[in-house]
Amino acid sequence: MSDSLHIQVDYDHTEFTPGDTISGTVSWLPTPSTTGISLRLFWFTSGRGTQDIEVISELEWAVTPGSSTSRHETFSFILPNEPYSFSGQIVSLAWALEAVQEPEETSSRYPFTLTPNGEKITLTPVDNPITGKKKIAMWANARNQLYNN
Amino acid sequence: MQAHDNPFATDRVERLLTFNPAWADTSWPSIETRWQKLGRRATLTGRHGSGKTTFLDAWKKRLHQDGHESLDLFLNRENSTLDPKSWQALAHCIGKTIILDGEEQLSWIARRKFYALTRDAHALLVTRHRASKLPCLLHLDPAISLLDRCVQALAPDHYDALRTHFPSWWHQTRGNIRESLLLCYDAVGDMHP
Repeated sequence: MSDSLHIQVDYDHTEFTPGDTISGTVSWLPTPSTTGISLRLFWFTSGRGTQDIEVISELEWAVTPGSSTSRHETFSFILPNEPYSFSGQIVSLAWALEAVQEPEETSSRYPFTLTPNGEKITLTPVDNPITGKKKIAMWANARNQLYNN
Repeated sequence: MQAHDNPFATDRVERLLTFNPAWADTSWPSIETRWQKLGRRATLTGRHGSGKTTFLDAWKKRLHQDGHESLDLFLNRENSTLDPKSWQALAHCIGKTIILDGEEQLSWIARRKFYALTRDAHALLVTRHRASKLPCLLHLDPAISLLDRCVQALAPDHYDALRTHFPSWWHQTRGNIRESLLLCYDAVGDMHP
């Protein structure tokens, strides 16, 4: 996080649906070495496995080296249809806007959700159709056996 | 506990646990002196989950900060061959630093081709589990105390509850830090369903 780099969106909520426009302003105070600012719209996973990231759109603004004047720029992105934000015990998927100051790589992030109706999606264990047991419980039992060996 | 709140989520571990040379009883100046002494062609060795890829991430960052251009290649059991694009890039690698993670996945013929193409590269660093024809830059052989330190750094609030499992997890994973941290992920998830 950086105090000199800030994302301000034009909304007071963080729940969005496909096709919505997300707009706002990026403001920054450059350091003597700052050469540019980029703003990315992206999604990423978090959890037990390897992280997946996809940048959907990116805007870039050049900064004159040595400039010390604060600056702000507006942005506007139309959100795609997928993937939806969700949250589970094994993996979560989140959306965010991230402003990055180059070359320092200091950044500021605005997390938000993208779901069909604006409501949070939480993954829960499902019943195994054969045994009737929770699948996640089966997984946990297998793991417990591994612990105890 | 939701995945993004788990202190052992892979992305959080990668972000917070950057390679520290002290883990291998060395320092960056010492590694860099040896790197130059070896003519910038060397192997990084260590068992599965010993920190080789974590070392490479830190090494690449240092290279890029110094203005060097690197060609980064990654192989594992699921992806054990270089694609045509990578071979093409290797054919034009003069002046670049080549980094190949998982060199032993290459077949004998592919390995011969790889070393022939990289002969004129600025530098070459490969990772393997065991020594090879290239001299060893660093051998990573972490002890269980490193798992202890990692957990303290990542999840101090859960450390006391997890530490009793460390010896069995260390044994079970054959000293694989990455796998041991995944067992920490599972255990913390089970503690807070």
